[in-house]
This record gives sequence, structure tokens and C-alpha cells, in this order.
Amino acid sequence: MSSPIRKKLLATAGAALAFAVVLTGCSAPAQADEEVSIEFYYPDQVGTLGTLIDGYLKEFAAEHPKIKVKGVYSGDYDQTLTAVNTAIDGGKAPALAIMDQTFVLDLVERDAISSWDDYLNDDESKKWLDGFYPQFMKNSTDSEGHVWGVPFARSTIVQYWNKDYFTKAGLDPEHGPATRSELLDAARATQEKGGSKYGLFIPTSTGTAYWLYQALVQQAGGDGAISNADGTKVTLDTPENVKALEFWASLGAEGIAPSTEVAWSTSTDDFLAGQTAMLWTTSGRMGTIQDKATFDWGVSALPKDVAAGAPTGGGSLMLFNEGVSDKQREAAVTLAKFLTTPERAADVSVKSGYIATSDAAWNDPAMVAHVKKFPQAIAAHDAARDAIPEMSTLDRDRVVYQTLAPALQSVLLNGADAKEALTKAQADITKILAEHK
Amino acid sequence: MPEVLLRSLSKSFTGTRGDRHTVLHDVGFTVADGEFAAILGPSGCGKSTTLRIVAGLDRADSGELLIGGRDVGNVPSSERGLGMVFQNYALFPHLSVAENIIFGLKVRRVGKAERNERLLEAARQLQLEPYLDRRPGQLSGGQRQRVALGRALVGGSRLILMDEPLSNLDARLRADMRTEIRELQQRLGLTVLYVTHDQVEAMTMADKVIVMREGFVDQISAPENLYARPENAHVARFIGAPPMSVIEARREGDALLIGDQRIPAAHLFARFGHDLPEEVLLGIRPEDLTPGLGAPSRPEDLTPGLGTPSRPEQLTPGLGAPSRAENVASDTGALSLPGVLERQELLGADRLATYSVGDQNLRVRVRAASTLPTISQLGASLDHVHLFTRADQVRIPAAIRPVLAQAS
Amino acid sequence: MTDAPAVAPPTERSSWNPLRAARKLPDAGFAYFLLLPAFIFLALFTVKPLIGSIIASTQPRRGDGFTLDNYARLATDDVFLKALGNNFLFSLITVPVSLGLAMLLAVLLHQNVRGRGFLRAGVFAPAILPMVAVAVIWMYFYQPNIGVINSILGALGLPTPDWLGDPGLVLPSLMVMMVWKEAGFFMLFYLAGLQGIDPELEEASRLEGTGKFRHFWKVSFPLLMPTTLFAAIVALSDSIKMVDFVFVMTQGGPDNASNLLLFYIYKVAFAQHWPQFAAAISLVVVAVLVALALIQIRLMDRKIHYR
Repeated sequence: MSSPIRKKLLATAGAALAFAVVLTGCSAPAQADEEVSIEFYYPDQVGTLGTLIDGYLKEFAAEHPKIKVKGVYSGDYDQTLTAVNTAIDGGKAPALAIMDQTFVLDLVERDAISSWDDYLNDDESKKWLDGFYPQFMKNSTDSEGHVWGVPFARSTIVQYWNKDYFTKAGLDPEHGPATRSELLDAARATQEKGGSKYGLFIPTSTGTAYWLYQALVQQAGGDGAISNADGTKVTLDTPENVKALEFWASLGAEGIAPSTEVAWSTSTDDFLAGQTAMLWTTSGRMGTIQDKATFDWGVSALPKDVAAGAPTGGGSLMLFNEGVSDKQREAAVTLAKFLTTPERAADVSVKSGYIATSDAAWNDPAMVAHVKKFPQAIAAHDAARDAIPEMSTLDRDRVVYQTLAPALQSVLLNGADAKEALTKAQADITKILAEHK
Repeated sequence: MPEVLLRSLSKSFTGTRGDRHTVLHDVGFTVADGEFAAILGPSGCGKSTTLRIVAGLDRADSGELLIGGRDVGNVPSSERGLGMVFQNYALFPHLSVAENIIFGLKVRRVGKAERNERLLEAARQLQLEPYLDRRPGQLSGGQRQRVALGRALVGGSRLILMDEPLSNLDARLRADMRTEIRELQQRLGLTVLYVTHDQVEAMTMADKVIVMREGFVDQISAPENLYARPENAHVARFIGAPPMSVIEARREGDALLIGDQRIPAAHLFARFGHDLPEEVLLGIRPEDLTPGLGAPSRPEDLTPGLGTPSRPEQLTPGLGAPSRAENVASDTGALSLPGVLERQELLGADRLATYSVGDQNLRVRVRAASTLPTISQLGASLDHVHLFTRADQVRIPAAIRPVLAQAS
Repeated sequence: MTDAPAVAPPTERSSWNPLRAARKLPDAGFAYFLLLPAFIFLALFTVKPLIGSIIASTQPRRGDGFTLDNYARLATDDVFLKALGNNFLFSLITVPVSLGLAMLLAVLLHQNVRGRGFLRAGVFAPAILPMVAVAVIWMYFYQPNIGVINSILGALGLPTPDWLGDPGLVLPSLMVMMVWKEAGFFMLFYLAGLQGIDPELEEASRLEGTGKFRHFWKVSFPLLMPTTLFAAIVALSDSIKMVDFVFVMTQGGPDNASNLLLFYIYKVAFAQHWPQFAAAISLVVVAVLVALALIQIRLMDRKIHYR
């Protein structure tokens, strides 16, 4: 065969192949039996979620052979956001991802995610969605009632206490403080009589300061959510806010906590090392503490002051738009429902320490058995009852990490005036949010 | 007064593998006040180490070092009252010529006025006035050399050490600087210890030459003596350009045996006395040999036409040689060696030929215009024949002292 | 190829060789031809992104159009100003201290001390560690309760501050770490520099009775100036671009006390998804760096080249 003819044939074959590829890519809706591939990004903040999800994806593959899921472990929540942003810029977002629930507003503003509404038309789906505790739906639902996220790995703030210090201090080791005054008494007593170096750790790190602050504002009688549902407005300059921050700062000033940063990442280790009698942190740490504590410990909802409550936290499943076909989105919805059945919600809760997201999950036999064996687990359920939404605004990183967290830290660590700092933060944040109108 | 006295200095280094290398063996000599002494030797002979010990940059393992009668073995360099010129000049590249020269004065806290005065004096002596503000990088090699000299002189030291100071200069400049340094030394009455591997420098500048080899001192003498009366075969082979031909010979009765060549030499033996050893080294400078026409002692060995294609009529001696050759031939005070021309090379004004005598080679230097016979009787006056023992290569003194030798 | 025409020998065409063809170019043209691959990479990975950044920096966050708001914002952005100030302090202190220490170590280890090779390797070791590893190591040093430093201080009965948790201490603590990492690296430059100085100079000094310190100050130090300037450029750019430790150790906190420019740029670009503003900050930082480098190089040309 002479070479020009060979070349021509090759070229034709190549074009045909390319054409075929294009055709298969576009003709998806025509046949229901067509195979579909989707990408699914999942972060793992606690170290146990990754293996768990890998297992679920294997089960899913067996149950849905036509849907090929490519699971991508994407680091922590911030790294996942970066990864998703990069994918969007590259024109090919994952069909489904577990994202921090507070990312919703920014993603909606950028038209990056789809509402779940279109996929909830049948009764079964509505029932599935209604099953989730409403506290966990608040961050995922906008003021018009559109649903943007489905709760997956959820948490809230609880208090842990060291029973040894309580016993030594003459306190009831079986019950944690239930009110603000009991909290302060217990802190002082464990320090003075119990032999603990510090009484109470409330982490002040940049990444989480706002979250713990929300609980304090709620307890002071203010609006712990701080932001409105659309994320266009914050309230930081009320007396309740000032009172909450001043209380927090007083812990350091009075030696109940260190006057320097109480690092989120190491505060659990400090509690386990006996540095402090009490610690406020996420319910997600229960597993770690259970594994590593060398002393008896208790856990319960945060003590109330004027009011009770703490914000929720954690991730939701979100549907992405960029480069995702309808067919792929349907597959993603199928996967999301599979991942959030009560049995799996219970499994996630038992194995990772996240809070089961519905009554059905709490009533799951595995969960019931777990609570029987490990009664502390119920504390998370109780805490979730009074849960408030997590603070979430547009331009969240700038508002929360870049403006609010330093303002809080300037009071907690540098002794700035609480009212002034909050007033300035209010003004700065209002200015940032004004850019989004 | 800066008289320098070295008495049996020894030094050894530990090599990288822990082995000891002895670099100086019992080195001793003196440099008189106002004398220009050159240490001459090939690289690695220990000459620089000797200089560095005098300077105080290195320490000897044993021996004594006196400067101006004072034992300075434990005295730091800066208090030995000497200046030094380094091989690479060691000028500070970031400082101007003036700053380089007065660097030491500043260290010694000499007052500003005096500093300036001395700087100008040194600059004047060395014709450096126009360059005082320049950096060393902007100067020629010769100018840098002068700056280095200036820095050595400005402190007022009358003892100056120089470590191959001219080795980085081109040939012409080197000749100029030789004269200049010698003149300066004479004018200022300096005592100079000068290290070089270049015998021309040593011969032309020094009052006294110390020849070193492998850590030993071979000979200490005036330059002319060094040429005329090398103390051993090593010096003989080192001094002169080209140096002396030193060949192995045996005494056999009244004849000298070179390879299988028998050369009648009764008059030579008479000159050196009867206790001459059997095995000797015979040394003759190329310029002391005269090629003359002569029959080979064994003509059958020397068939013409085998080597160089020379015709008999061309064997006529050239213009320069004949009279001497005839003189030598007829002179009973001459040694005549039968040689065959092996090769020749032109050295400008002169021509250097290599003749084989027996199994040895002798170099002969004649005027370039001379024609060299292929087969020749090479004549040398007995005054210019040097004998050394084969065993330790030491010079065998003549029983009748030649007139020239008495000059030393 | 049986039907190939036998008339014209195809060698002329088939042996066409771009190198040979290019050799017919004038010398300068050929030189550019040989540099072409390098230029292509430079264009793709340096020039194109740079132009892209310039364009991006003049775009609004949403929508299209030309705007200089991103640059105007720099003057009022508290976090940027704070990061700028932090970085200024960080560079101003770590660069000279690193270089000074490096020079000192080099002078000490240039001499014939016993175990010189081992000591040199030891001092250089931090330089070959990845910054992330260094950060993890130092986090352990600085840990307030069980950390190495506070364990020692505590045992001596001294106060045990929270090095990374105290807004007043966090930046100095990071500076110490940076100096530790950088000094060994620059020591290598200085060792090379010292080896380039003729040892005769030191002997010439000794002959005049110059003390070691004076010799260093009057001779070695000025002669090391080219090394110093070169190292200063590298150190300055390191002090701006090496921010891995901020991610690992402090996340810029507390109270933005350890926020550095590049970390902030990363935050703006990725966490806040605001590449336009990030581009503007980057360009300003690059402009400042280029200006500083130019000044340094100019100085080097003017004053420091002796040979």
C-alpha cells in the first residue's frame, strides 16, 4: 500500500473515532441503560471517613453497575474547596462533593451548584429529605426554601470534662455543669482543689474561633447564628455579643484558661494530658477521647446561660454544575441518597463520631447498640436538639477568617476592648457584604 | 643589622594519608647585611618553605633562625622586621594602590602625616605616583609588582623576602624588573632573600645563590662559581642553558672508557691526581666543547652516509670553530672525544648539537653559522672538564687548581 | 515502495534537516534558533502567566470590564497591610541575621578545625530539609506544654511562653526558625566565596601584624561583598516566597500576627476565590522584589566588582 492512501485511511479512522466519542458524550439521555461516569470529591477531617466512604462506594458499585463513580479524596474542607474551584475553572467540576455546609452561599452566588429541588419531586424523595433534623438543614436551605445541600457528616459543640478532677474537687463527676455559674464554679474548684492547671479550654484558633463564639453569643441571649439566612447581613454589635466576648476573654484574664492562643488542633491533646479540667470542642472528637483518655471523662451539651445552644458544623453533599450533564447529575443524586440512608448515617455516626442526622438513624439497630455500649454518644443527640445554624455569609473566608477571627483574637489575646473590636468588625463586614449587592 | 642566619632547619608535613613528608633537611645558610641572596631550585625543592619559615608564616620543626642576631623562632611575622613580596603580589583588590601600600602602617598605627610621607617616598622610588588612586585590577603586571614592592618597603624594613615575584610577568618585563629590583636593592642597601626557579634571575641579580634540591642545600656560592665550579653533578645538570652534559665514564689504565670508546686521558688523570675513583661522571658544558675534524678511532663503526647525508667537502669546519679546534687539537691540555652527530637545533644566534660518544650523548654549542661535521673529534680544554664521583655525585677537585677557581 | 520513481534521487528532500537549514542563518539568528526551546518554555510558563496576571488584576471580581479597584483596594485592605508589615519585618530581620550568621559560620568552618566536614554537614543539614519538615520539627520545639523549648525552660524554672499562640511572639519565633533554616544554606555560598580569596592576602595581613578580626573586617568582608549581595537577593526572595511553615504552623494567626504576603495571596486566590485581587497583590510584590533586586545588582556593578 502506498503511504498517501494509508495516511488518508488513518485520518478517516481517527475522525470517525473522535466523532463517535462526541456522539456518545452527547447522546446520553436517549438511553436509560447507558453507562454513566461521575466524579465524587470527599474530604476527611477526622481520619476515619475516607475508609468508610471507600467501602460505601464499593457497595454502591455492586448495587448500581451502570454508574461508575470515581471517588477523589480531597483533603480537608478548605482543600476540597480549592480542588473544586480549580476543577470549575478547568471546566469540569465533580458531579457530587461533600462540602462544608457554610460554603453554600458563595457557591450559589457563583452559580456553581444546583438546587436539589428538581430531584425531590416524588414522595419518597420528599420523605427522605424531611427525615433529616431541621437543625441540620438550616445552613443548606435559603430564605426561599430551596435546598442546596444534604447533611452528611454533622457535628456540634459539646463539653468534655475530666471526672478525676471533678471528684478531687468535690464536684459530682457524673454531671457536667449545666449553667454558666456551675461552669465557673467547677472551673475554679478543679483548679484550686482538683489539681488541674486550667479549668476550661475554649479554643481560640483562627479557623474555629467564630464557631465557639456563636455558642457564647447564643448563651448570652443574643442571636448565635450571627448571620441572616441569605448571608448578606451580620449582627455583632449588640450588648449580648459584647457580653459573650468579654466572658470569653475573662477566662484568660482570670487564669481559668491560658491568656495565649488555645489551639484548636492541640486542645484535645491538652485535655487528654490533664492540662485542663474541661474542654469545649466538637462532638466529632468523642471517638479520639474515648480511645486515648487515661481517665474517666464525661460529655454533655454546653451549659446554658441566658439561653442554651451551640452551632452545628460539618459537611453536606452538593451538586455541581460546571461540565456536568443532567444524566450525571441524576447519577449523583442516586449516589447521595445511597450515602445518606439511615443505616449509613448510623454507621457514619458509630464509626466516626459524627452526629446521626435523623431519628431514623438514631433508631437504627446498630446505633441503638452503640449507644447502649457507649452512653456518652447520646450527649451529641441532646446537644443537637438546641443547635443553631453555623455562621455563614457571602465571601465567607474574608468575613469569618479574615475579619471576625482576628477581631475576636485581638480581644482574647491582645486585650483589646470587646465593644470596639466588635463594632469595627461589624463595620468591616458590612462593607465586605455591601460588595455583593 | 638584618643579617639572616639559618641553622639546620628541618620540617616535615603529614600527608593526607597520614604519611610524613620531609620537605627540609638540615637547611642552613647565612645572608649577610646588604646581600642579595637567591634560593634557586626546581618546584618542590623546599625553597618557598624555607622563605615562609624566615617570614614566620610557617614554623620549622627544628633548627635555629636568627635575624640580626636575634632568635626569631617564636617571634610573630610582624615583629621580625621584614617585608615580603608574594608570588601573586597579594594586593588587596578592593583597596587603592595608596591604601595597599599604607595598609601595614595603619595597622601599626603610624600617624597620618608620616604615613603620607612614607607613601610618597615609596611611590617616588617605584615611579608609582600616577597610580596611587587606582585599584590593583586597573594596573599592569609590572605595576602591581611595584605596588607589592612598595608595600614591602614602606614599613622601613631593610630585610625583604621575595617569593618568585617575577614568575607572573612576561619575558621582556621580567628582564626590566630584574634590573630594577637589583638597582633598588643596591640603592637602598637592602638585604634580600629571593626565591626563584629561574637560574637567570638568580645569576643576574644575586650576590649569593643557594641551590636547593629535594629539601637539601646543594651548593651555596657566588653565581659565577656556580657556573664554573658546580659542587656536585646535580648542580651541574641544573645550571646553564642548556646545562652541562654529565656522562658516565670509567677509568681504565691511561684511558677513559665511555661505552666501548677508549679515549686516551693520561693528561686528565694527571691533573686530578692518582686517587681518582674508577667510576666517574664526566661533565663538560656545551659551550666548552669544540667540534673539530678528526678520524674516528675505529673507522669501521662510523661509516658515513648511514645517518646524516653529509658529503665530505661539507665537513670543512665553519668560521667560528676552526682556530680553537686546531688549538685544542694541538694542545696537550685538551681532551678529545670522538663523536657522531645525532641531531642539531637552532637557538637563534647559536646552534645546539648532540653528539654520541660511546653510549652517551654530549651537547655542543656553536655559532649558528657553523657547519657541524657528522663525525668529529670534540675537543675540550682540561680547565673545562669537570669530574664527579659516580657514587655520591660530588665534585672531584683538581690536584692542580685552575686559575679561574681561585676567584671564589 | 516498489513504485517509487527512479528518476530524481529523493535524498535531497528526505535528508532535510532543520539544524542544517538553520545553520545557513547568520550567527545571531542561529543562536536564537538554538535558544528557541528555552524561549518557548519561558513564554509558556513565565511570560504568559505574567501577562495573564496583569490582565486578571484589572478585572472586577464578577463580570467583565477594566478596573483599577483591585489596586486601589490594596491601600485600604487591613490584612494586606498587616501581611505587608509582617513580611517587611520578617525580611528585614531574617535576611541580615541569616547572612551574618552564615558568614560567621563560614569563617569558622573555613579554618582547619577538627571534624570540619562533619560540622559543615551539620550546619548545612537544615538547608536540605523541606520547609514543611522544618515547620513540623519546630512546631514540636515550640509546643507550649510538651515542646522541647518549654520543657527545658520549665525545668530551669523559667517562664514558658506560648511561642506560636502569643501574637507578640509568633513572628519572632518564626524568624528564629527561618534563620536556622537559611544560615546553613548561605554558609555554603560564603565558604565558596572564602575559597575564592587568595590565601596570600591573609598572609600579607599577618605579616603586617593585622589581627584576625581586623583582617576579616578590612579584607575578607569587603571581598565577600559580591557573595553577600547575591545571597541577599536569594535570601530576600526566600523570605517572601518560603511560607510553607505558615500553612503548617499558624495559618497566619493568631490575630494575623504571622500572616505573610504569599500566604495571604494564596488565601485570596483560593480560599476566597478572588484571583483578580490576588493577581494585583502578586504583581505589587513582584514589582517590589524586582526593584530591590535591580538596586542590589546596580550596587554590585558599581562598587563591588574588583576584578
